[in-house]
Amino acid sequence: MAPPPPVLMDELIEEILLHFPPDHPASLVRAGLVCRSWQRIVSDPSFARRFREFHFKLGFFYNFKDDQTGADIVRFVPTSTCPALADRRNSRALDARHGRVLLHDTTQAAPPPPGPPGRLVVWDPVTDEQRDLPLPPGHLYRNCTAWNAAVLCAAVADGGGACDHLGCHGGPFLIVLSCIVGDAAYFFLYSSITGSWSKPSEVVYLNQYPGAARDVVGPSLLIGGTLHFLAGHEILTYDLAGNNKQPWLFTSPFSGMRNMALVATTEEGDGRGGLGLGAAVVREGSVRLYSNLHGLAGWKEEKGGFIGLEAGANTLVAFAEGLDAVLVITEKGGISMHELKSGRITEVCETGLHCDGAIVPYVRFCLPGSSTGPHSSQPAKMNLGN
Amino acid sequence: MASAGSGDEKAAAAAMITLISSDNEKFEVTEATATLSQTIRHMIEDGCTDGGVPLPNVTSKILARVIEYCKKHATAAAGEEGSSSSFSDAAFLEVDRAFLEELEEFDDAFLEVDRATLFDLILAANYLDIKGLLNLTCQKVADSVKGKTPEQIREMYNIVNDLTPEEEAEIRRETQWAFE
Repeated sequence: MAPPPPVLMDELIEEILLHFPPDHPASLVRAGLVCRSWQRIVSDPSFARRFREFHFKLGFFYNFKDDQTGADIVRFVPTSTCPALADRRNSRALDARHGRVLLHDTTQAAPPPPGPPGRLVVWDPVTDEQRDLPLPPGHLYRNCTAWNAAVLCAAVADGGGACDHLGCHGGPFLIVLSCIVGDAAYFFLYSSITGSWSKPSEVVYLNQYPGAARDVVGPSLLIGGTLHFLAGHEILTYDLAGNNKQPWLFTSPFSGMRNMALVATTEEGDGRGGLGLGAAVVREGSVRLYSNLHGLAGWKEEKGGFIGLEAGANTLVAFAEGLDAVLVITEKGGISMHELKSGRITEVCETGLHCDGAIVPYVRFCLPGSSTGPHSSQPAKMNLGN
Repeated sequence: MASAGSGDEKAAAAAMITLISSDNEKFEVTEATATLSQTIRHMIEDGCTDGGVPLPNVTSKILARVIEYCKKHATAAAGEEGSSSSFSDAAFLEVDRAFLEELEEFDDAFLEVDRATLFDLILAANYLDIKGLLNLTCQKVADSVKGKTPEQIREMYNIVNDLTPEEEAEIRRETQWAFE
């Protein structure tokens, strides 16, 4: 008969409990009944945080309004790779990148819509730390008719090479706020290092398309050091890493904000072998993929560009940066993830997502072996000589 | 992506390290294999590995298993190091799938051990600071207690229940949802 297993120290019990399934919290609670030290570990708040850090890989935020109070609510849709999170009331999720989520605090009664952006909050859902930002200066943003904002690691502005964005979620960040005022677009840049907003960027005048919708600025897409925002028939770009920080725009041949998303394609794209700009568009009953040819006007449908058949009028698409995957949200509220490179399709959520607008994918990378992150306790040090 | 082959070449050119188990058995391994252990890596960096590395907390039976794991994973680690700075790059996704599958099969077979050996491997992985092995073995234990009652878990892993009946009743009351 095999000898009984040796007794493990508490930090190794914690290590085992950390590997419990994230989508089945009851199993951790039950493990707490094994003995006193197991109970102590599972009921410790620092273990809860480590557990989130360990398991968080992919989930989705979406916004909706409380039926009764009309309050904005941000809800998290966990996948099998992460634990659940509580709702956040009086907030809307705008963007998520490099481990951070950008929220719009809607606690104060909103001025007549669309109104100016209120307070922005940068939140780390894993550590639950947050930072409230000051309002941007000047009158421009107060008069804007449409706006959106992006959050990103500050290293992107230095060319990005210094950071792999695997553990930068507690570090310095930037916010880019894109506003439309009349027929012009402006950008404001906030740096967490200086704690202040820049003056508005140079103005870009929007093209005069008859009936061009300008009441919405879509979620941002970062390719290299350039942010892209979809605004009606135009794509506004803001280059953080290049020398030319002047914004520019080019046209999108697709109309209808709701049923398309900008995507980063892995095709030749910009001709430098990196990621190129593309679009996933719901058209004629399917989701199709287009790539942009060398920046300006040309778009072509990708070979085998059908990435989801049977798309309806209410099918939504979104793009998960870093995973390079197009997310298709069906009319029933299920989410399927289509990885562009491998063509692999994963059902990440079956049904029940009732968002009326964009969903915000949240991706947190863990490197094998460093998955417990910078806050983890080190393995017990032992003296080799003993 | 650095191919698995370049790791082998590096390893062949590197110096050999002697590891000495608690029962005084000697194991010759390449530096690439040994440095999967952060503990040994630091000793090599400090230049204190001449005459062998004594590992008084690891028996020869367990050390042989640990070395088997490190040999297999040393080449994988060489590949990972080359790509970790560009994790989000498309190149990362092109990791040789066949190699990863083979590694997974190896890991599955490696974990086919009795519970005492599994715990001994956890202790050794912690002592030698081999993160991959610690993750692998802890995951195995976590998987093995899936769906088990507290009584079954105690029995499986030789754990003494030191909770009083009152404490146990209180926890059950507070977390009733988990037992339904």
